[in-house]
Amino acid sequence: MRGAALLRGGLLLSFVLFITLPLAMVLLEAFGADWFGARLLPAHWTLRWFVWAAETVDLVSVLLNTVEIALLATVFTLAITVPGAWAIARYRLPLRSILIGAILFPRMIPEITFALGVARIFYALHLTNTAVGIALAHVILAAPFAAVVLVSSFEGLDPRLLEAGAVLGCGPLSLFRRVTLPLALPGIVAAALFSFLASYNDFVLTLMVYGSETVTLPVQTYLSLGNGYLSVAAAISTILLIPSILFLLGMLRMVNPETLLGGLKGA
Amino acid sequence: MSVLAPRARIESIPARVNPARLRQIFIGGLLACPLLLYLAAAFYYPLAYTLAESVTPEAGTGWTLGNYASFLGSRDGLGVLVLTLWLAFWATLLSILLSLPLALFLRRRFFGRRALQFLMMLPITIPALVGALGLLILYDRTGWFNVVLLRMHLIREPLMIDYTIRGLILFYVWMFFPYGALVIMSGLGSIDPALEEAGRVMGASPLVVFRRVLLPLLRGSLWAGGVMIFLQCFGAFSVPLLAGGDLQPLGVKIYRVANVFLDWPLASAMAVVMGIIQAGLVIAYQRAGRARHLA
Repeated sequence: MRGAALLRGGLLLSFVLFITLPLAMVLLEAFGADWFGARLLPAHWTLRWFVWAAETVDLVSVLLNTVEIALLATVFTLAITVPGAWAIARYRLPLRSILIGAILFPRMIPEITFALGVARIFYALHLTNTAVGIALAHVILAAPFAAVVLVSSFEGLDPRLLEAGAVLGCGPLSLFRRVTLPLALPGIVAAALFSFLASYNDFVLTLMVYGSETVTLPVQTYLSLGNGYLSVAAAISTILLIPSILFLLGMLRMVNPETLLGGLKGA
Repeated sequence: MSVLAPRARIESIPARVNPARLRQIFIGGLLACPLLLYLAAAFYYPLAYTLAESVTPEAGTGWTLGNYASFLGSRDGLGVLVLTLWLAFWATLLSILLSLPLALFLRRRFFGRRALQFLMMLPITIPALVGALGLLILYDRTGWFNVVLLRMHLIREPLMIDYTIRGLILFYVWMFFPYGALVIMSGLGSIDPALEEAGRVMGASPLVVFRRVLLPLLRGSLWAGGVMIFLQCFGAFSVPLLAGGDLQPLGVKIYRVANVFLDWPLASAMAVVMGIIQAGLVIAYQRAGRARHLA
């Protein structure tokens, strides 16, 4: 029995190390100086790579770009998926399963397969190298999952509550504002958070449509690595990681991890 | 997807078309319009554009399959395809072998189970670029992995992992195994514990119970998780772009052909092949799932 417990503990420990060590390395690289050779830890701790990133690649404006694009993408996604999901959930539309398939299809094929066409068309429309254009591209990634979350949230609304509201004299608008919206809010918030994260983290599509004015954190990480600044790339990565970690902590408190599967996608 | 299963409506609508039904379709269609128009313009039109570009000859009018021929007919092109499938196959197999014991461990309630679930979600939630960066540092010749093994005298020379095929497979496993683990965990959760107990009561050892009771019941989940991991590996881009070195699977190759060699028609043909393979796998898998469900 004792041996089995030890084996179990050992396996779990190696699993934890397997998962966490790569990220620990990013942090060591970002906050350490003179870390080379066979040293396990950096010789000094420093914030110099963050300062470097701020000075040489204008980290602050890169961060602002990324957040601006992510906020735009979130607003665009909600603007089209809230009514769309409402229609799918509450109206008996014809061709329903084809409709749902068409909405989910963008998540079934690798990003790079449609990123080529997006790059060509956005370039022709002068949408590349603009925050709006990049946000519009990110909506392709965010909309399918947001739609799934919203449809299931709208379908879960108890119709009796809406009827009760109507019987008690609510007009359609105040019914929406005072009954529907509060009930659907958790789903809408989840869809918004997911959309923000999908845009903030996206690399593949951004790589195809970004320009010098619209460098985002993932793209800057890649560019800094390409220029050989490993520590600067690690410093940028550290900032890039923050929303994902917050998102995970928040989501794990609220939902079962399995339900997140459809939306998260590492390219 | 179960969340999208049709539900009973409140309104009872007669089968024949009546004004109320028409009005419902009209308003519903109007509400769905922005989403559908957006997807048509930003996703389906680019997809069609890529398809059209892939059959455009270099000069003049008409159409050609030359780009497909030069991709699928060349040793290089086939090599890319084989490399992509090879990486995906091994990464999937190893991921399942890692996920299964993990899911079995995580089944019991114990202190820190929630924290472990959180950890398991990390690789698929964070940007793949950051993961690739950390993996490259960890498995470098002078990284922790090699230094610790050297100090423990388990190896004499540092192992070459970064920029090798086995390294890339290892990185894929790190990045994509949670898809499998989560599916298997949910499969395990839906197995009636009474079945296991029955096996135990009849005198089967834990190993026999696992092999004769759990494993057959888990077969569907194992396949589902495996397919999901395989699709992720097949479509991988950031990890091989950063950590592949000279190894360029399909996703990276498409990007290079388009952005470095500026041969967009060839890149488009490769993208179409990639999209068809992936969509084909998804559809074949869903068909198989439905057939099993009906049987």
